[in-house]
Amino acid sequence: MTPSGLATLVVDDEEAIRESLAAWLIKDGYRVETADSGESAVERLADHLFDIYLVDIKMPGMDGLELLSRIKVRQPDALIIVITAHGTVQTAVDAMKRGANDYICKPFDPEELSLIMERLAATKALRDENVALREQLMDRLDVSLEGIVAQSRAMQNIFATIEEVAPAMTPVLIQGETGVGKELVARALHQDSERSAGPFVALNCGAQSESLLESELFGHERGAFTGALRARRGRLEMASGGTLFLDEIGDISPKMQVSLLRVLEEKRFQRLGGSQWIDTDFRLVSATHRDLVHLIRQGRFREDFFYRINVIRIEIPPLRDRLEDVAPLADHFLERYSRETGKRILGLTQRALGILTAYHWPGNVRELRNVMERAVVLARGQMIGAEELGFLDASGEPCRLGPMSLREMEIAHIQAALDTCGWNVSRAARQLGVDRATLTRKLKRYRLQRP
Amino acid sequence: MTTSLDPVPAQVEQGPAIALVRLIPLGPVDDLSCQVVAANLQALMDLAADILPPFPVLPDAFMEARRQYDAVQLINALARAFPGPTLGLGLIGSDIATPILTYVLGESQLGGRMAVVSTYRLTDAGGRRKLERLVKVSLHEMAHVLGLGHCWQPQCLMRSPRNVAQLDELPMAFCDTCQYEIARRVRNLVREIRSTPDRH
Repeated sequence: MTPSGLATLVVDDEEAIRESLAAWLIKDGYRVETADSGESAVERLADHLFDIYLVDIKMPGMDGLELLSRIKVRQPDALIIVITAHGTVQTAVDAMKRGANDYICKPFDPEELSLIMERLAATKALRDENVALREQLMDRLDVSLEGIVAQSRAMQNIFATIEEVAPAMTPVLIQGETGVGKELVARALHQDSERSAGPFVALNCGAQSESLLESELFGHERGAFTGALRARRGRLEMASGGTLFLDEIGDISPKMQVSLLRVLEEKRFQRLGGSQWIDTDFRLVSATHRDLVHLIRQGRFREDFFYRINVIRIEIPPLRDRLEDVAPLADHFLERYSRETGKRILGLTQRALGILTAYHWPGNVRELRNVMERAVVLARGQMIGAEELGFLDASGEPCRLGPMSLREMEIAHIQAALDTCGWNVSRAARQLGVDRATLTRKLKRYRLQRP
Repeated sequence: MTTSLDPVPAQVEQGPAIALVRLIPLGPVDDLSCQVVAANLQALMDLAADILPPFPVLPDAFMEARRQYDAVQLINALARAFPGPTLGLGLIGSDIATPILTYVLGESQLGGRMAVVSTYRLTDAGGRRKLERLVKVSLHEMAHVLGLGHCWQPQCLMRSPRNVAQLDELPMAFCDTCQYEIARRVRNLVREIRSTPDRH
């Protein structure tokens, strides 16, 4: 089974080799970039990382072995194939000792190259699936325990939309950054629908290779491909009578979009390697963190498929735009992790809450959950204080708090609370845990005025 | 069953048939092979093909050390010799390879105009089997020229065969999705060729 869509960097100083290899990989579905030297590859790494690297050993300037070491420092789990000429097998062995996953002598036998790429892609797919399963497990714990925690107006509006559209069969597209809780909203849509007694089947399309995704969605008959020892039902089949939730829909290939479009149009499909039509009846809820309109302009997302899945759109704002949700979410996770660890923790100090509400939350609710889990583990007393959150500053993510006096911090914190509550003093006071009169006094003292 | 996604043959939709592919024998290639490939391009991909007289093989494309022709150079030479929007498929009896692979059965420009297919490694079987293989490789490469990548459906001609035995196992057909994409892209090609004043 050969996965595709993997970001691959080909590094070789010979243009003919570089371009020829890139052309072969692109036809197989890999996303390929090329670099003509070790130095140029290292520069490329500063911008972004790749899933697979094909590196020529012998290059002028920085050679393949040096580049291999540099890649491994920057990306320890990088998958690397070294390319050697005949007669330099010893160097290839050295490369393997330094962490290369495989080596291949040029010119390659087409079958050998296919097998090596398939093996690496399978390794990557397994790793990604492992991560995705762990995340799914954590997300499911969230919904099965308490549901969605939120106080902000933005989230209240989303709840109203959910109530309104849940009973219909209309496809829903949920947009929002990674970690905002798209699957929770999808589950809520399912729970409030007339199909709530049916299955809720979720699949993260981003963590799957194209071949794996196809097999996961459509299922397969026995013997459909190497390793298909028995027939298997796909998610399209499992979701019949319920809801199919496809997360990271923006990551699927245009070809897979056509396949899904056909299923949505015809409400039937065939398993891989099968000839029988299977009827299916599910409500599609999809989600993405990508800008699909931008992908359409780039020709990476089909317009007809976009209009089919984007009948109702729900946009979940990032946590930094609804900071009033931070406190209730933090309390919710604190309570859960206190219970799980058996620690008796009463709450967060005002300083700790200030740090949490001032933080930028690039990883959104999921990051807050992880932060609270870590804070509970680190906690020594009955309250989570600034000490337990010290690691947030060290994370390298933007944090609005610098070295401040207590007075400066209080002003900044009051200001932030008022900004998030749209200068509604009563709401801001509630969020800050003081009464309205106290907050009004502080506003006067610090001469804070509505902008 | 007809659905909104079923392709309409491009040539039916857009007027009288015109040649969309030039089939170019590179050196001696038997007429039957050319005719069978042309007929199948028309039947399975809606690509009407003109068979041209043999075109001399570029001697510069011969890699002396490997005793093979460089498929990439052949394709580049064909693209220079036959400009314009019409696609081209070179058929050659000699063995071909690319700078990176020890051999290829065919090579093509993904989303470009030209492809080349060699009969050299397809001839260990008799007449009909050999022709079937030639047609399969030709259709596969021309689908690449139309911009299609490899497909993971087990029963699709765009699945990448790793060797000739796997090529024999592939059906002489594309899966629904690839067939749909081919039809869409052929329609665009017809439009492009019709709107070009000097097509050839």
